[in-house]
Amino acid sequence: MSVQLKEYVGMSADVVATVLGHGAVLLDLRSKYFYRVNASGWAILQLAEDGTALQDVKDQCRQWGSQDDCLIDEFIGQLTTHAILERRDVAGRGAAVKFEGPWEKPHIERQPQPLQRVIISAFDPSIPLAE
Amino acid sequence: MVIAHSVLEFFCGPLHVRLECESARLRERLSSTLGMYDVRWDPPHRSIELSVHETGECTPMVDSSYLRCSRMAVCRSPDGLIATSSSGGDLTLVRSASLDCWHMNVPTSLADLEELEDFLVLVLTTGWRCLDWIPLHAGALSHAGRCIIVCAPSGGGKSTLTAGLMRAGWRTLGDDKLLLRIVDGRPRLAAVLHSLNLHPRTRQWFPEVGDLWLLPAYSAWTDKRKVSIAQIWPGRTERDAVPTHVVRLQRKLDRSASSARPLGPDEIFHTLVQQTVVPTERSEAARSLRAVAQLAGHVRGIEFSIGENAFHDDECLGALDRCLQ
Repeated sequence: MSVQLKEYVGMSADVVATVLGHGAVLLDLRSKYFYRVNASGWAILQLAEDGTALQDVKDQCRQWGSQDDCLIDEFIGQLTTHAILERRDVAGRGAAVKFEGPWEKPHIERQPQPLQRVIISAFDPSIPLAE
Repeated sequence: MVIAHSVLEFFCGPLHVRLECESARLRERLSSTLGMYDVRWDPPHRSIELSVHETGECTPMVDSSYLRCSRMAVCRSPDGLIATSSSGGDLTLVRSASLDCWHMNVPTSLADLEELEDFLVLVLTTGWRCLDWIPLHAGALSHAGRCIIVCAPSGGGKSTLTAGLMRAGWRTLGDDKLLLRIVDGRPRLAAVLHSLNLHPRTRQWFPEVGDLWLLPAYSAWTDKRKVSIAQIWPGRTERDAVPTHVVRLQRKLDRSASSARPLGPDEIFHTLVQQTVVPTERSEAARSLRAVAQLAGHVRGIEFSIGENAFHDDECLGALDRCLQ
């Protein structure tokens, strides 16, 4: 899905994120898959968290040191393909995002092992034995 | 366990559970499970009221939008949670600021009372989460200023390694049930029960456990027996600790020597997150992930691979010990 410059995108309500190291880890609650994003990718995701226009993302990334808008397009495309970002009708509050660089190509990687969909119990996340 | 006016009372970590149940068979089973939580925490405790009734009716399964277990589906309700079991039982939570009120209906036709365990575990984990304690399905041991969290899936060797390390002088917080809380940005672990789930064949390596076949089985799904740590290894328990390491346990199918290697930061996170239940609800999922990520940021990680029958050799833990230095 290609996102136009003036279109708004925001993080899906089915995705939760938390800081890990210099980047973040995302969990898609629908698929149970984890995604790892680097520091630049996490900065973009925070910009888009409650809805922002692609043009605003690019402008901010240039201030952070990005020199190639195509890399931003590619990253946003990956996020929308994985349904981490969704189209929005309006922009969000636009909270200030702190990025301390250095800027590098934004990167997202889906982790190979998802959480189990069906588990033993509310305490034990192991795969149930065949009954 | 405290008995007062036909209401049974239990303390399960930071929870004070009041159980009201007219059915003798259900009361006996539920009391047995709740009574296993033998680590008494200091007050304050969050109050949990659990009323249990037998009924001739069966409840259809709800959707599993909050949690899906093998025999139980859980969804959110306006007041809290609703859970249903595959046999037609149901469990409803009505939550207030200071009290969790649970109502459980159990079909009179239910023969396999193990389903009650699933409901009870939901009652307890929900109460713990409310107090910001994240349940971890892992073991933990401490020794000489170090505290390791032992991670493996069910049947992956957590209990046997725990027993082996206790013999080597370590103290344990438990072999498969821990609570994790982040206090001022730092992780803290707490114990809720001081028993081990050991397979009777463990005796071949640790003769002091005795003939565990003589003990009653606690589940139809495993031959393991619940063993009181204090009775076999007195003085080898710990109530809380600050974790320093995560040990991902790998069982090798051959008899080659044990080995250990360091884990990277991402491996530590993924090892830990596979040991906790993450409900499919945004706020609770985010809280669990945040706690696990903060824990991962404070510990070093080790993958410890151990071969079949390794505990015959006292040196089998040497690789782990050297990696922990």
